[in-house]
Amino acid sequence: MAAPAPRRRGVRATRWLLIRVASGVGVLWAAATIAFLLQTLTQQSRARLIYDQRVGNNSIPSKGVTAAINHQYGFDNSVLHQYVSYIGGLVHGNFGVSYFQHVSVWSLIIQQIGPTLILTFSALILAWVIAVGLTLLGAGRHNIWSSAIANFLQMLSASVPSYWVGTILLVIFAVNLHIFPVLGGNPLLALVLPMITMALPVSGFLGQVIQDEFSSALEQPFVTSSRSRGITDFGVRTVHVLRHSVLPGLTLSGWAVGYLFSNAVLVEQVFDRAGIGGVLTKAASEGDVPLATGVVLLSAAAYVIANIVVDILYVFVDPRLRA
Amino acid sequence: MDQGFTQQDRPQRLAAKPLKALGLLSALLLAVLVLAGCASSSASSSSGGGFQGVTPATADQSLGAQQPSAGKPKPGGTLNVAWVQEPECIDAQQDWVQNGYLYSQYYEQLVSAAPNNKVVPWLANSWKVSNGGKTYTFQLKKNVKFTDGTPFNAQAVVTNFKDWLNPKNTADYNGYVAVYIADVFKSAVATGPYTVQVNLTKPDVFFLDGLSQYAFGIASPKQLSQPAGVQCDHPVGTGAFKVDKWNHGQDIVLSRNKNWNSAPANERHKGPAYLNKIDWRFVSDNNTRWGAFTSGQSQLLYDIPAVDWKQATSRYQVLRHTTGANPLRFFVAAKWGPLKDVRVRQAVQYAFNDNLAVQTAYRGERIPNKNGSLSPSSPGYDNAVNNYYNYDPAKAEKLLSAAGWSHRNAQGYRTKNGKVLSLRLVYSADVVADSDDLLLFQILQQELQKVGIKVTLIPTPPSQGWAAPQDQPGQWDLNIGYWVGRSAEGFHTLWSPKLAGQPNPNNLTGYFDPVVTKLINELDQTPAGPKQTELAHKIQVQLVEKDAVVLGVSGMQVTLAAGPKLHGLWQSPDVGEPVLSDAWLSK
Repeated sequence: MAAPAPRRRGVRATRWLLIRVASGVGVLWAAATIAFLLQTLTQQSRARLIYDQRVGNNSIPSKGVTAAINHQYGFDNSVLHQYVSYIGGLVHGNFGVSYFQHVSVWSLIIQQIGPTLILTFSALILAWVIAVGLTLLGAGRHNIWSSAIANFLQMLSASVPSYWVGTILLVIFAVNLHIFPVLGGNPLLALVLPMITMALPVSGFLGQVIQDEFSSALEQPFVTSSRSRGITDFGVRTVHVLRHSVLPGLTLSGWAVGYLFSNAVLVEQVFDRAGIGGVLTKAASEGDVPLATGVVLLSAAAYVIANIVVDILYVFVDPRLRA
Repeated sequence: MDQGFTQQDRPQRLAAKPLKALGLLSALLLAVLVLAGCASSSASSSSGGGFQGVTPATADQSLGAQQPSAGKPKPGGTLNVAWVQEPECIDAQQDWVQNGYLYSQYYEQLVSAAPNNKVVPWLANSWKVSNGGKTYTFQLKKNVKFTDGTPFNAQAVVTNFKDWLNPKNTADYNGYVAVYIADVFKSAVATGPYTVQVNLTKPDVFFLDGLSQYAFGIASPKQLSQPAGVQCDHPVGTGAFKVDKWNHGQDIVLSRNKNWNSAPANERHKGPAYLNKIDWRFVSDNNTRWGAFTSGQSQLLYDIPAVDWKQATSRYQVLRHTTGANPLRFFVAAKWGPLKDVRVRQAVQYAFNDNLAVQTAYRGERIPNKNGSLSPSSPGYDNAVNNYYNYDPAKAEKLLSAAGWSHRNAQGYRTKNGKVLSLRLVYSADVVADSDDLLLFQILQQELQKVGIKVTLIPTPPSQGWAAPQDQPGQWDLNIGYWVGRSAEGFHTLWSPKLAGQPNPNNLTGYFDPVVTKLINELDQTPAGPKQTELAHKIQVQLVEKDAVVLGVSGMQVTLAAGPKLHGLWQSPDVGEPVLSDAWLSK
């Protein structure tokens, strides 16, 4: 009676995973298509753009020169042909060549992705530490950690723009107190302020949902039964209740990765950090379309992957989903 | 007609004068006195009151606190520079002036810029002008090497000229060089291993001015033979520094060229640069850049934010250079819309309180200049033109009424046949105009509203450059911009109907007056002297006083702040580049 169950469960899990991956690929394909359309439909003359940038923005290229550039970049092909070769290139990991730096988009992204990933994930971890810490200390109790003031601060941190927080932190702790470097310096020290800047709003969001869930879980019958079995308050809160309440936090983390990734654009600017943010702002403002779309696609990919990972994590945290 | 000379003028060392803690105002006054004493070109230098009665200050000047005397220069150390814009490529093909400051650290020109439009030897030891001003023969320095080991010689110079001016070679074509010399360039020939002869199709008195500019830096022929993607990251020149590494999005690390033996005649010390390394960081955020400087993390800051100007000039050494050629000004649409009527254009001039606007928006960093046709630092600048349209709203109202805009609607705007007198002010956000400039536009908007003119501000995205639909003829009425150069050669750049054989892309107004064109042709062939000055004045009078096709704002001021440890810094009279080969750091 019990024999076929595990196999069926395995098949179901695989199918579930395949569907998730397929829908992720669908999202990426849609993003790529929109990116392609933006490239081809909104730019008036890409050849002129490329030429202007290369020679200093002050010449009108002759027809022969424009034709040569159009041919070099394949702009003289039909839109459908360009679309197929663009998507085909993406499938093979070819994101195209930067209009202005004349090297492959992928190599430019690879150069800059490291610092952004470090910043994104360290901020995510810090946000979790803050949110879980405050929850364990305050939720379901009447102390300073659960007061209206703490709640207000959490709401505030979730709603102030990180650009502003970053500037304030920079002016106080780097420019005036000299605790952290304004630019560069020790990479670990240099990470602290931008990490806090990015983590604060996310910890506010995380804290709000985790605490809600935590408080309602505290009223569940299993809490009473655990206590009656003699488990300490600390044990109940960390082992049993927390496990319940992190589920909505996990869901939010999928979103948070995307949010942090895009927020890095601003924060990297404020702290003058290397990273994908600078690449994106520059590419977008100057019209380096392949580079900008490359970064956009990558952000979409980060978002999709994070959400799949979250879905998988769910199964581990909540055993009921394994059935 | 042959004229052989080797100029040895040295730039005035204004920075070294013992100016004791001069405030901004007294520095201005000093500059005014200096100019009044030497500017024979000024028709009137003391009429009217306030700022507009004086010639705007322009010289390479040292403001703010003086560096304490630090004794003898010490070699070594790394200079941390906080710059603003990061170029896409650093091989001198992209000629925005902001990139030029960087190029100047590793490329060198044939001649070096000296004050008052003079040039002194650099990679060329001497030169001769012959054939009625149509042939320039340069004797080059010997034993000079590019930092990749390639020898510098006549052939290398010829290769640069050829590649600069070949539009099909997009990797090496140099648009800025083309603007300067394509209209007169015929050929460059190596007539000896270290002799280059450049032949022009007609005399051009501004030819050497052009050669002294950063865009004419000589690159290693080996670099030029590489594809654009390689050149982009790996520039190779003969200069005092070489590029070690470019960490994209972050900084460029330069190191001293130990074998440097090609210093220009106006270098202030002999031998290689003092600094071991330069860490040239890109910090676009104003707060961060200023914070890095005041906390001592960087010793050299470019582009002092207007809000920090006062603090900068009271606490640090500040250098300011007013670039030549075309100053910060609005193009005024003379060929369409309400501004087609010259009376409306003149009314706008009278209604704009330039002094107030510039003081408010730039807080002393920039100096008002209402002569939008030429920079105050250019020889031949006509200060009478600067004072011609002194702020006079009553005159503006009279002109507008005379032009038929006599009725006012409920909002107070003037109307004619039921149409509101409305102007579109177009600006390229972030590239040409930052937040300080935006404040200036808003003040202009309020000033013009007072006389009944409605102004709408229209930003264009930087990605569109000059190809933005809002910049096309008929789509704008006022358009902000500048053209940084050295002097009156800028007239050719902006007001000649054709440039490098193509319709002139630098002039958005479509105004090409035959009288102006003729004057410019004559100017380009008239050597420096009273006759040249007279021609330059005539052009300014025509463009500003008579036709009012430009509305002046201020000079283009290049500002640098130096930290207490940085010594020996000066700005090149070219476009205000920091000369770091003479700079050194104390402990």
